[in-house]
Amino acid sequence: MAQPFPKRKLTDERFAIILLLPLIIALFALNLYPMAYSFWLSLTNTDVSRGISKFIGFINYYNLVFKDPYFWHSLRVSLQFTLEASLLAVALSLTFALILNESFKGRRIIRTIAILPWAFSTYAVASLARYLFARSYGLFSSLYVYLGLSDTPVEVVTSESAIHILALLFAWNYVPLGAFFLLAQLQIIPLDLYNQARIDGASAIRRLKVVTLPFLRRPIAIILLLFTVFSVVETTLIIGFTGGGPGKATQTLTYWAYAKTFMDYEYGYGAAISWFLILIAMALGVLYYYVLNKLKL
Amino acid sequence: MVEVRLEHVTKIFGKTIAVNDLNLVVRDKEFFVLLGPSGCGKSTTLNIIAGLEKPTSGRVYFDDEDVTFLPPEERNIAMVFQSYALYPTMTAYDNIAFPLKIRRLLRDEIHKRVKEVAEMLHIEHLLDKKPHQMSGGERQRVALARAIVRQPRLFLMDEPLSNIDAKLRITARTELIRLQRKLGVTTIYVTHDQTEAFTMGHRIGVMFNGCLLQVGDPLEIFERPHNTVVAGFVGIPPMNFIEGHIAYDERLGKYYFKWNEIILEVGGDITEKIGGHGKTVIAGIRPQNLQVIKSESYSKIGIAFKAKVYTVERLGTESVITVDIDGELLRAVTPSELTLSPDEDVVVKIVNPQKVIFFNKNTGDLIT
Amino acid sequence: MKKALLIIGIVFVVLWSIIPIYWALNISLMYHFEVYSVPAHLFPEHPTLYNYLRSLGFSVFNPFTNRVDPPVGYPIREALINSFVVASMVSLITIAIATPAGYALGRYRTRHSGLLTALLLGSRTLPPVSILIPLYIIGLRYRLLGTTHGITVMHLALVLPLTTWILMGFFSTFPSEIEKAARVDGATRLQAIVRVVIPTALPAIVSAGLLSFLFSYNEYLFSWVFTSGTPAQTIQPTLASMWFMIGEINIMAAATILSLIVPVVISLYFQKYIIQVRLVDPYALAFE
Repeated sequence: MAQPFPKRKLTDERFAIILLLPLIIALFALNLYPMAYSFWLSLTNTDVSRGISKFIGFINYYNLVFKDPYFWHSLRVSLQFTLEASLLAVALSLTFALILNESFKGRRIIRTIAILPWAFSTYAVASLARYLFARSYGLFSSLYVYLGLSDTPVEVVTSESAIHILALLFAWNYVPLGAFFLLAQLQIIPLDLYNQARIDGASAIRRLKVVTLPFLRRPIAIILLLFTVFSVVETTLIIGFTGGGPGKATQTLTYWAYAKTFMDYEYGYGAAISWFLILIAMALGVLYYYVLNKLKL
Repeated sequence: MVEVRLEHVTKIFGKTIAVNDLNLVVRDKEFFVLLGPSGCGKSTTLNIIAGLEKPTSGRVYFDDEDVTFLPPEERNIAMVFQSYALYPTMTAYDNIAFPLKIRRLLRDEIHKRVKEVAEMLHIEHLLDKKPHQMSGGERQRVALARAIVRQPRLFLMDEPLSNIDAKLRITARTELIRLQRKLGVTTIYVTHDQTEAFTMGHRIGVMFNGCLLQVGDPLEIFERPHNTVVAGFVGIPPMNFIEGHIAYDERLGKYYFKWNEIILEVGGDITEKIGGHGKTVIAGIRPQNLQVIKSESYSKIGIAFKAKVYTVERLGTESVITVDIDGELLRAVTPSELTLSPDEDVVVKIVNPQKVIFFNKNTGDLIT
Repeated sequence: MKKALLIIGIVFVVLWSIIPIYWALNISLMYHFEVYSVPAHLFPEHPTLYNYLRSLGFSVFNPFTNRVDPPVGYPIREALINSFVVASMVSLITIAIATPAGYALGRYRTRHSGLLTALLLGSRTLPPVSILIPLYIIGLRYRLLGTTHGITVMHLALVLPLTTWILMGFFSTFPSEIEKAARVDGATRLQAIVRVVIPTALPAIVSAGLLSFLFSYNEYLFSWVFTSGTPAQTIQPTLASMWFMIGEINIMAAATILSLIVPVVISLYFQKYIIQVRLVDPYALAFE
């Protein structure tokens, strides 16, 4: 039984709550209330272009899943993008981290260069990519000409290739984050372990397998989690690079929710799509939490 | 300066009881040492006295003032931490001046007092340096200066010497004792190092698993430990415990403790408390009270028994000999001149048999 | 063998990181007629700052047409200033709210702190689109659209959970003995924070502030919805609307490169710290 604390005295708990108050207010006003509002919207047929707003229950959700062919299409595109983008980003992060962890002349400068894409806005990444992949003035289409594969520049971004290029761009933007996170982990591997392995006669590849990778298993799982969640909700890159096209080839769920709301003005329907996204993101979060913390990966 | 009194202090963190119903009086001007292994609750106790933690139940008094709920800043105490906790962004001068600045003393007064303690601790040359530019010993002295400068009524020290190297620690120890005697400020000193405890403390409190097991002056703790836990923790090398039983010799009308060849006379009052003939009891013998003698030079005087040398550890002027008696290992301290080798047959003699103490087998408590 | 592999690796890292930037830079240094050469030129034949000067509001003489061309009709300079103002306000307000909150969460275990940290983490996973819709409607109602303070508030919604999480992580590893010492030395809780904790934590707080700045500066989605086509338009939506409105690819490239100056400067600051401070992402830190 804890003894009563004198009323007027400031306890640690009361003090902590005072410090937290502004944050709590901000979170309620700017995150929780909007979420609740968005849920309410998803239960209405709000459509600004037609000027209607009526409570219709879960009809939006019903239509979404059972009536709208675009839903399944978008879900499939989202899935493909997430899978490709996150796996590519993880693989490259690991490669970059291992390279940048070696000691060589000018490592500082190379690290400085490698970190740059991290600081760029996703929209800027999309812009840079538009120059790179453009038909007339793009580097890649012109390379075909330089290499004698074609007389005229070719269209690089097609409905087949667009999703892969998006995954590549996502990786370009996020690899520094993953690479530097892994790099930080590499620094804490005790040097003795490497020396021990060397004394035991392990080759460089064997040392990588026996010493380095076991230490990176958990950090790799962490960045895989990061990249899946980030790629599921990625919108700006698609708006900036393909606008969901060509056709509907790169219309992911997030892009679709954005387009429904801000191009078609169907707020209610857009909100319903975004709630599917929230559920996916939450499920991913819980799944990873379980994998990482309960299974002690 | 102040007398510190803890009454039924208990601190619970979640499911662990860090401090269990602790009662303690630290006398005015006393250098009191809380001794115990890490995690025994001694630092938590110190934090409760400082006001950094609130006890789950119980009261803390400074003289007659109930300070249980007084925040640390209003207690007028000073504390030295194991990490020294110097403010990393401030110079030594600003570190020492900080408690005075917080109290809004005048600039000249602050300057005067900082200079005074700096002189006292010989750290004038460090005043412009920042903590990361100083050595461990220098930081420790700056931390001490910061504690002294505001003339507190109580010093709390949490292992302040454990982060400096061994050689410096001995000088720091004497310096600290000298300072405390000179200033006459009540001091509570937490440590896991028994050498520190025995050389510095007027009195020592031994803590284990959140319980304060015994409070007493160093000699008392060493010679009359209240139970086997204290007895086993205090003393280097640790005390030997032998489980034997009480036998009554009708011819002499006396009680004896018997184990193997060891036969020790036991006072009647002790026997009464255990329950007489045939009862099991634990004898505690300090390694210092065992003497190892080569078999050939053995003459039948006093209480002695045969044994075999198990290991020899040379520690400079002394050696610790572990001997094997029927599979039981006992330690003895002998002068290093005596050369012994493992498996050699020896005779072990109990010097000062009156210093052997007995513990209740079930409770582990000292039988007096 | 290993050495050769390493060199290939380094070359790959450099090319991968540089090529996209280089290509836009290349185009931004060309006059308009050169942009459409077939195949595209790998280096500008007549390198010029013509596009940059026109982007920033100057009239520039074009030697190939023998004309003085007027400044580009897009408020790029104003957009950069707007972005700077918004990002500064966002980072200052964020720091003012997130520092005490992060400290409280990292230092004290209160009854509801578990719930609050879960909420912070949840906010970070939240798809931006999902709160964009309701916040847009709220913004319409309270006339926050097209205003600098409106977009500032929106960015706070995105940045606050992230920054609080970062600072919480920092403060939970911050040695508590330093504040304990301050308390015993006579400082109240507040004094200990202001005089000891904040000065000591300043590098981390500055880093967190710079991250908030960068986040706000780089944010596109909310900025587009809230400011495009208004006087409050920030740089990202400006780049976007230019794409749709003007045909001069070389000018656009210059504007894009100009928008990258701030991120490059900030990344230069961070490459010193990123390994030690590990200001990676709250989501990553949550699972460590």
